[in-house]
Amino acid sequence: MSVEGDGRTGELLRLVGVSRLFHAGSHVVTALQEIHLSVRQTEFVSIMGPSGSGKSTLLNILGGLDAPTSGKYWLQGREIGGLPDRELARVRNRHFGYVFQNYNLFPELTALENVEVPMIYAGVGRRERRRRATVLLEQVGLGARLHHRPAELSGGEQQRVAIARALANGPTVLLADEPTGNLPSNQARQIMELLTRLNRQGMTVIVVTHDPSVAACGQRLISLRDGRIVADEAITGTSDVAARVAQLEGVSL
Amino acid sequence: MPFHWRLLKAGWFTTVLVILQVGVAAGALVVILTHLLPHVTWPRGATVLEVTYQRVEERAGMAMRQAEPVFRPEDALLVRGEIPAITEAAALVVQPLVALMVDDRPYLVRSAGATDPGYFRLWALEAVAGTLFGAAEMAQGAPVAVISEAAARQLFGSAEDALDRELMLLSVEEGLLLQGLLAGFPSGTTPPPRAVFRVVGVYRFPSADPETVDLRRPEIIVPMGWLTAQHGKPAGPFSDPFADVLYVSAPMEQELAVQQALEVLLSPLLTERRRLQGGEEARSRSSWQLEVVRGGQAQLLREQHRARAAVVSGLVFAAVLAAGVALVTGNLVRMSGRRRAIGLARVLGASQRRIVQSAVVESMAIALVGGMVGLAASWPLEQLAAPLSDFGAGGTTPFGARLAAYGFCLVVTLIGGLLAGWYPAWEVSRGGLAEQLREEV
Ligand SMILES: Nc1ncnc2c1ncn2[C@@H]1O[C@H](COP(=O)(O)OP(=O)(O)OP(=O)(O)O)[C@@H](O)[C@H]1O
Ligand SMILES: [Mg+2]
Repeated sequence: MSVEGDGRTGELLRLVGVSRLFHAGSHVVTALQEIHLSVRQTEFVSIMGPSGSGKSTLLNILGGLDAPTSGKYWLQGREIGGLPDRELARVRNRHFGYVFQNYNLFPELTALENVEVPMIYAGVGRRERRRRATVLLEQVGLGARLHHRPAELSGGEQQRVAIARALANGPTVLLADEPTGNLPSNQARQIMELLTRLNRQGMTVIVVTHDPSVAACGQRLISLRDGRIVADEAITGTSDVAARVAQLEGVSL
Repeated sequence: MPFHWRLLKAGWFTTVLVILQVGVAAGALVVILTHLLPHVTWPRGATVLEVTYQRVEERAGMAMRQAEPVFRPEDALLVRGEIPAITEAAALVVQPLVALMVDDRPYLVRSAGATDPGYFRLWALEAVAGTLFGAAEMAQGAPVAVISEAAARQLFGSAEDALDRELMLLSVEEGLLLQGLLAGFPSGTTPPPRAVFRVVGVYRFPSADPETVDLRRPEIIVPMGWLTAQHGKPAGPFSDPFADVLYVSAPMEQELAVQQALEVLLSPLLTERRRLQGGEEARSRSSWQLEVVRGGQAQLLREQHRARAAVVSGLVFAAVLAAGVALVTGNLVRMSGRRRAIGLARVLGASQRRIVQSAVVESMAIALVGGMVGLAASWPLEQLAAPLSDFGAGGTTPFGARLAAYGFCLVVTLIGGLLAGWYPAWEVSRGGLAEQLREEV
């Protein structure tokens, strides 16, 4: 993939030469190395790779939760690196929806309140907040669970609350790190159907996963190994992904 | 952070503990401020100077000093009239170690004095029973006495029982006999005769310290004119008394000026008076010196004031520190317990500034509630601290001072809440978001 894409092609994100080093005691871990990546609007990107290959690190940098040690990052043509905390908070609030493996809901709050949180930071009024949160939860099939706490919901339901929350401010990109990692397969399937539906409605989705069947929901597969992109290809079927996984795992051994 | 109330409820135990700790500290602060502070400020305005006229004699190469009775009661009026800065003045005749007879039983007391009502005003003496004698008794030369609370207890059992009782001041000779020191009695002196007094009042020094023996702090005080019979006149309303000490009080900032003015005014006067008194000067090679010191009780009071101020500010500091430490630890506990929630809030779009702000508001609210608990707790605490009121002169705190203490307490807790809220939230909300999220619940 070319790194010289421009706005007219609907480019959303662009990483140029991004590296991320971690200092663990005396030695340095290179989690990402010279990543060049461009993601266009309405793409559904799956990121795969062995454990420790830097998938989460990449997603965190894309979502503005972590900053690269070196390299540059543009979101819709605007450079993200070096933004002050307040601006960065705004970017996280307006442009990104995050879905995590462990759902990361506020246990003290009901489903409805959890979905309202990002809207509070966006300054949405109380009644509008409530209305939008209700609509979003109905969209993810939780219209009957509005006032339940996370502890009273199944894993799949919690993840759907998290997705509703991620959609709260109408984000530009949905970022999901192992969204089905903690779920039994039937619930995992529901989540992926939901993400696929959202993508078909025009949402850009980036999913990190270990699961080839999850990755196969996407149109593009990025394979990471040792902090490098080793393959970046279009997905035509589940067998493609399975083959790539087998290759990656085999090589890494 | 949104839905703060839920988060607070989730960590209610820490919050309640912090509120209680702040409450106790704030209550202590109020008690200290209302009960102790007013007594610390008392001697601030005026200073008491002690004027003596000393005979300095060279004896075997050593300078011996002896305060001589040279002051007249009028001298008090004179200095007050001539030196405007002097607010109060009184002459005191002192007799250390005096023998008394009460109900046919002899007693030896530390010190008796004869003076005028100015003395009571000067030392801000108040009667704890009966009244102190005033100008009328002075003018009539009435044989009345006021005695210290300690003397009243020793001689009569209690302050109330002392009123209207009689005590007989024995002669010096009898006093020495009582001590077995009669042999040392200088021959050729006329011992003052006995005199009977009616006790009209019992007083307490504002800073009564039973441990300190100060012979110039009389336990029995009678009107000027009594006690000084050594000039051959009968005891009674004495027409020609001489006092050993002249006390004056003046604003502290005028102390030096007053000291100098006293020298200028009194030195020639006393030299003249001494010359008129007799020709003994010729045989003794002694020199005379007017001494003005912030002496005796004045010094003592000042030191006590300093000590009290130190104790009170130490206590205030300790109380404020205790409240502050409680707030900081409480906030640290609550904020680090919310590390993950704070990370999540930042992921969802809360800026660090917003998080710190709401933590500060929360901390200030907790501190304020603690402060109000403290105001409420100050009532029972005051009962507990009742023994401490001996620390000062006792008595009630003026309403204004109490209100000021409440205000101070609330302001201090609010500021404490602000400072204590800021740091933990800032500490927890900075740094890598990815790590914060990874934190286990
Ligand atoms: N905060 C950190 N401090 C030190 N090293 C880190 C840190 N975060 C990640 N790493 C290291 O960076 C590398 C990439 O980590 P990352 O979490 O991105 O891997 P991953 O591909 O998401 O793995 P997994 O599939 O197990 O989630 C790993 O070697 C990891 O040990
Ligand atoms: Mg990971």
